[in-house]
Amino acid sequence: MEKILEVNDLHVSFDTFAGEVKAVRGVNFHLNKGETLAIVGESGSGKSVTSKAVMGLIPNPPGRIKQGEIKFGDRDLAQLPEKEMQKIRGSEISMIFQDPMTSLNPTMTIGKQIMEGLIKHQNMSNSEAKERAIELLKLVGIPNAEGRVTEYPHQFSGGMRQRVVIAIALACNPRVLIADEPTTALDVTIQAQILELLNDLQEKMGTSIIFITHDLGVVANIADRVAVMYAGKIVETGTVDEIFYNPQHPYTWGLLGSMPSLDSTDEELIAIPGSPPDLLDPPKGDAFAPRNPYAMQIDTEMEPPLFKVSDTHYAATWLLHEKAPKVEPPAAIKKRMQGMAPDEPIIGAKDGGKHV
Amino acid sequence: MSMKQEKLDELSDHMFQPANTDVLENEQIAGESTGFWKDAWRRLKKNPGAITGLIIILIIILMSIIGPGMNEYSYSQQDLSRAKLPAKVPVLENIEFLGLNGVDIRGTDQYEAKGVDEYFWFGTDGFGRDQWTRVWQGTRISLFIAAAAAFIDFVIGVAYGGISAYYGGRVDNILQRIIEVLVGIPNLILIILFILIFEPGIFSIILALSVTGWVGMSRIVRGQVLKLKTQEFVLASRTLGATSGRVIGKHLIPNVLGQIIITTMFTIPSAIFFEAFLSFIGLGIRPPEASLGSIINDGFKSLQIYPHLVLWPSIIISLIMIAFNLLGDGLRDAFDPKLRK
Amino acid sequence: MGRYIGGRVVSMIITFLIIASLTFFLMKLLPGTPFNNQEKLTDTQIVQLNEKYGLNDPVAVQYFNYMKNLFVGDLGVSFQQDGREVSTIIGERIGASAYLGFQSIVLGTIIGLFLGIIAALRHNSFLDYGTMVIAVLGISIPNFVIAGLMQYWLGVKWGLLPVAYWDGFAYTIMPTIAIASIVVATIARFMRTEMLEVLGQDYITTAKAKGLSSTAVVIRHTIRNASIPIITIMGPLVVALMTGTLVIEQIFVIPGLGEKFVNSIMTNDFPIIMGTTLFYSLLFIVVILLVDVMYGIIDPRIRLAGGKD
Repeated sequence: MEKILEVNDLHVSFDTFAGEVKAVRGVNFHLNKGETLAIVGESGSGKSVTSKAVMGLIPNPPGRIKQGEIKFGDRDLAQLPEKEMQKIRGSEISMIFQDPMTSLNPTMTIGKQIMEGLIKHQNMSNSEAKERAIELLKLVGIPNAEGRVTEYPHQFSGGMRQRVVIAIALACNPRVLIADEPTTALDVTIQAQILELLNDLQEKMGTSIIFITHDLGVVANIADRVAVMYAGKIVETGTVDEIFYNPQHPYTWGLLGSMPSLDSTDEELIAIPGSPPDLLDPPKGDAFAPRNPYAMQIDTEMEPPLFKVSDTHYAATWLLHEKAPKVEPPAAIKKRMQGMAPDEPIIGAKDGGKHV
Repeated sequence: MSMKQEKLDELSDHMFQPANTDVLENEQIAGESTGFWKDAWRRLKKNPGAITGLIIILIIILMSIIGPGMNEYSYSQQDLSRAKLPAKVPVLENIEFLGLNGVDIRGTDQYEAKGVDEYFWFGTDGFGRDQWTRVWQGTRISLFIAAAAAFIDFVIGVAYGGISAYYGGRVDNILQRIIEVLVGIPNLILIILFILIFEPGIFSIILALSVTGWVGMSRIVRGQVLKLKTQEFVLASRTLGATSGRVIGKHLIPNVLGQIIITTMFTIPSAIFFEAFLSFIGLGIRPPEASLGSIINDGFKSLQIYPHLVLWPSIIISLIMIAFNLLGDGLRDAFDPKLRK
Repeated sequence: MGRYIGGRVVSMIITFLIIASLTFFLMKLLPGTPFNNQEKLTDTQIVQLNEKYGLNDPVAVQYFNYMKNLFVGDLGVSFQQDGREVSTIIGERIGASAYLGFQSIVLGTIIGLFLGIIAALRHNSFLDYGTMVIAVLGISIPNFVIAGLMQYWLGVKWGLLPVAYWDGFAYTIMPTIAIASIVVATIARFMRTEMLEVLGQDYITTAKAKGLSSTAVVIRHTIRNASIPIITIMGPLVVALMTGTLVIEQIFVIPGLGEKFVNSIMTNDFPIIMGTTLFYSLLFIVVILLVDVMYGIIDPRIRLAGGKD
């Protein structure tokens, strides 16, 4: 499969008054053409920072890409000057943000906001851009697009605004779309609609999507592959099936265990104890060790490398070392893994959602 | 991923024993909790502008108390034989560029010309009154007017705003309509009309400044109280069983008092400015009493020849204004780090 | 929107009537006499004058006549200037004041916006701190102090600019700076805060993510949105400007309305005080109304909220 984007050993830090916060500490992943990669993790795990780094939107100061490369075609986005980056942003790689209520300019018509990118990247005339804007609004499912193109964001509901944001992102047929928690701020029913829309659009336009979320239910619906992030690192990566049916990292177990599911009401949720480490001063060894009931001596001293589980499945935990005791995931999580499958929708659905 | 595979094999077995990790250790909250006032004071101390302002204010208040008594002249003692002398200060008179050597702008040593042996640190005015004594006396009166006006604003404003917000409904409606009309009238006009009716003097100036001054304070108090009434943390603490007394003591007073202090910090310089302004249009303090504004206004009549009569009181009034504004800004940031307007 | 403006105009007229009545009764309470050189007038002359100006009528009648005349724009006559119309005197004097006020607010706004924008874009830099210092000084130092310092140094000592009077552009420079200082300071400070606030908004990130150049992001999205709320401080600024012209015209001996007003206060010329007071009040009320209406027109959120009513 053709790799469209490849991130190697990415480090991003923020200089604060308290010191250097190492938000991303050596991230590797790649994105294949036409697939959806979900990056999963809790708040502060570095998933948003990673995506902003790809977009070249890390505010500097205080943030900076310390090392690593972001290969997009034959270019390294980490090294690209701002002027060149502007040509890529919005045309080849674009982004959807979390909160549709605040991500649109309140004093500009939505038509103008869609047209801006078209005029900049595709040298369209005003009237061409307006036509295309109406087309895009129709594409993302906004009724009466001709009339609504001259309206302001506050005249749209949250779900409709997120559709507008998607229209802005897709305006120039980008090759990569980064969706940063695009459904988190929305009602559950609207969430399903937006996910369905993204699935549809991907099918039509062949865009590769990086989907950032903390919600494994959403992952099951939309992703082909999953990367689980913790404390600025990717701790496990694999196909959706591998992550859901054969998770290897105790943190992934924890995430799966803490996810509510609809079909099994008798189980209790298993919370991950403790809180993420302070990235001002990341702990020695495995950052997850203090919260890991299976932690071993070595976890407190050495960082685990990525152990290969299959060609597509890797996990960074010492439990996969041959000398480590064989540990089975907790029974409740195992049971849950049985009941969970990408084919069995949790919220809305890839297929079922169409009937909502 | 074959990297270091051999090295990994060398790891000793004991490394793979379970580690003693205490998960609960993670749950502890770092840092000690600090009180509202302590926290505000800590933030204020970090603001060099605010601290400079505070120090200037304290020095000027001190000078307004002891300044007039620092030499033997009184503020009203006239002596035409020593009129309009420039400033002359012992020791500093030898440093020429400071202009504190009693030489006027035409280059004549007025002290020599008039046969005066004394030193007048800020010079003398047209009636031969000591400018140093008059300036600090004027500062005292300006500060008094400002403080009194701010106090009246505070009393009326807090009562009006508090009543309006506390009773709400019709009372609030009527009180707010009254304010709307008051705000529609330029306060400048109201102040001038008010002083025209009463004879110009310290107390009519204080009253005139208070006629509209309390409106701002009452709005802030009302706004804060209304906001707090509906705020979720107040609801939360009530749900948790806090008594009304505790809600008022722990939530209402710290939040409202901070706003009140900030408003007062801006009321004082504005009162000082308005007092000076009234002197300018002939409605200020009547001689021989003097305020900073009236001294500057008198000085303007002979600005071209005796600039020192305007210079010193102008510096003092500007320092007061700057100091209060700096302190006000600093307090605003200290009490509410989010609000930076 | 139309209904909203209509309502505002009605409340504006009511406010104005209240001010007019208040002014009238306050004037009646004033000590002293409206006539010049009273000691030189004989008793019969005073009686004649009182008769001539209707001052012997009951207060209610006087009030009624006064309000009636007000409706047709008749502000009465000055007792001290041989019965000249107050409205004529205001007409003669308004030119210089309007010129000075206009020049100050336009210049002050432009410089203030510029400083505020630069300070926010170069946040925490030397330029930012410099602007903040200028803003604190501009807000703190009284305009008459600035005027005095300029008059002495620029006018008397260095002779760069005319010290006083009103005779061409050079004469307007120092008064304009003295009045505009507060405008520059207030607007620079306000604009900086607004800019910083807007720069932190999510939609700015959206604009950057579209690949717009930083110039386009700053001009189209940031400055545009940050400058809308500036309109709200225009009302208070106009008042500050009025206060400014009263004093500054006095200092620079400019034949404007402010100077006339101050002189009539000093000579107890009541009809002129009343007329000018009403004129200033009307100006103030109209400015507040215009500010509200303009805010509604410029900000689409308010525009539509008004329209739906």
